[in-house]
Amino acid sequence: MSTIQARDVTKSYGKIKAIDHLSFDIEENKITGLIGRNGAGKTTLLKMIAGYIRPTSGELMVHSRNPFNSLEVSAKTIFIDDNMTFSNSLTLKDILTEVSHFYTDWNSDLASGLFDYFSLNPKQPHSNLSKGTKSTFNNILGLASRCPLTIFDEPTTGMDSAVRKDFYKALLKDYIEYPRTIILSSHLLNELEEILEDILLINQGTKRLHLPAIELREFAVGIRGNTQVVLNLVEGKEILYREEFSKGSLYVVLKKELLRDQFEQVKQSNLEVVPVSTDDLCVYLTAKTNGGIEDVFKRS
Amino acid sequence: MSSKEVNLLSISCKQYFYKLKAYSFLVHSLIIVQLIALLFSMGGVFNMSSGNGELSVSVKSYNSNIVIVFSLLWIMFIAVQLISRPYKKMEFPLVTNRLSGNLSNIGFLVTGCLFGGITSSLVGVLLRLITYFMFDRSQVVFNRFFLSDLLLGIFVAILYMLLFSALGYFIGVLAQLNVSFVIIIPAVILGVLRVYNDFSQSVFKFFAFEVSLIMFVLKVIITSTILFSFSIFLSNRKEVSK
Repeated sequence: MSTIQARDVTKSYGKIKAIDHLSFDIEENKITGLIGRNGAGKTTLLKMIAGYIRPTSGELMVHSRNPFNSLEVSAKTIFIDDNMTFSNSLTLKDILTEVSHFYTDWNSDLASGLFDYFSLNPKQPHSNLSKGTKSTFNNILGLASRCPLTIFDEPTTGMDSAVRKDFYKALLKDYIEYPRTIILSSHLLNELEEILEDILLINQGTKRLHLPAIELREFAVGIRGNTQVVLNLVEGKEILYREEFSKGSLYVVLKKELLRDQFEQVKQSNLEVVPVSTDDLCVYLTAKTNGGIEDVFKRS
Repeated sequence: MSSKEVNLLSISCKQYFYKLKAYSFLVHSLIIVQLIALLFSMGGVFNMSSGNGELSVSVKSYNSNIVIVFSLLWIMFIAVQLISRPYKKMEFPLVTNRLSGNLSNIGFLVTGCLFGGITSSLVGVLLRLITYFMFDRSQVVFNRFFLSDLLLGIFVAILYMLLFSALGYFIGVLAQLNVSFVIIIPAVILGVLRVYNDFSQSVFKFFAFEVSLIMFVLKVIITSTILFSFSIFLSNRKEVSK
């Protein structure tokens, strides 16, 4: 059963389409990474899933229901982002107590355990927290609520790398103990990669690909070598990325399956085959042009 | 997965208790408002003097009217705010939909009305005490004071506050639907007051000149219910912006 089903979902703000005919299924009890560049429509999509905003057209179902204005979906979903606000009348400890009433599967041991581990001050109001601490606290809420659908929108904003790593570990441990559907959105893939099962890559409101993380690692290959030889090899094939290191030397990235029959040829032609990290691949797949930032400087 | 059925009423109740705690800072503003009103009332709410050369009489009347009016403005201001973006942002991370949010807001406002109505009438008692000790007692004429009068005063104050909170909430909802209402609403109110004088007078009389308590209760409750229902209806399709 899939937790989220999207069919041709479109969300437009005036003439701009933030989400453009997006269709996908997110299966139950999987950790999915929603990856995209700035302004790709990640937050808009997540807000539609959480029921904050309505799709302009298309059908979006969460737990087999329309999430907009649905109490049932809201009870099974928690949406964590750095815009969460809590009243200044409540201290952090108060917030934990108050929020626990709303979620039936709330795990208070986990909440207080994480709270103490990250040494948050129970007497502090939420608005006084620094950016990273606020993210940490919000993520504790997300983990402890144990919602069937837990959404983290850019969860690690402002966190230092030690806290980020701890957060990912905590997320994974609690997920193994208590499986549920988790969506993590980020523009950075490298840190997330290890914990993600599926990756949904979106670009300018459209789906670029939706694959298990393992397949994405094997998705593309990079070839480096003499420009002419490389060009002959890849002629007529779709190139995901190309970069000229120096005169006469070219680096291209293309889908692995396109080269399946030609690996012998590659070896004989003295070309270098390099694996492409998923992080780089996502950047290549969402690039607006084939070249990189270097092209900007070439013109002058 | 939790199999418990999600119940609108239980969620609204949870939200209501959450809001009682989360918005408790709003009480501070009520206390300040009532203290200011008390200060204004000390000079006499109603002054009258007359004389014929030989004899001059000046009467200063002390009551809690100013306090109640200030409390009315307070509840209206809160009602307008409750539907605004910062408060929505506090509401939406938790389990909610628009209906439960509105219901818990109304619950919170009713509690505010009870609290405001009781305290503003009690401030009136405090004012009497202050005048008793502040002035030469031979010059003070007291209306007879009955507990039943105080209770009636509290009850009526609560009802007026309810009416104003419903009005404020409705205005708040309109202002959220479109920013232009922020300008249009005050303009319309001022316009109606000036141009349609008879109309605004009759609206005023409809509530203020009602002598039967039961009729007054009915009028206030029905009007407030209509206003709240419109607010719920209008805000039910509203998206939550960032």
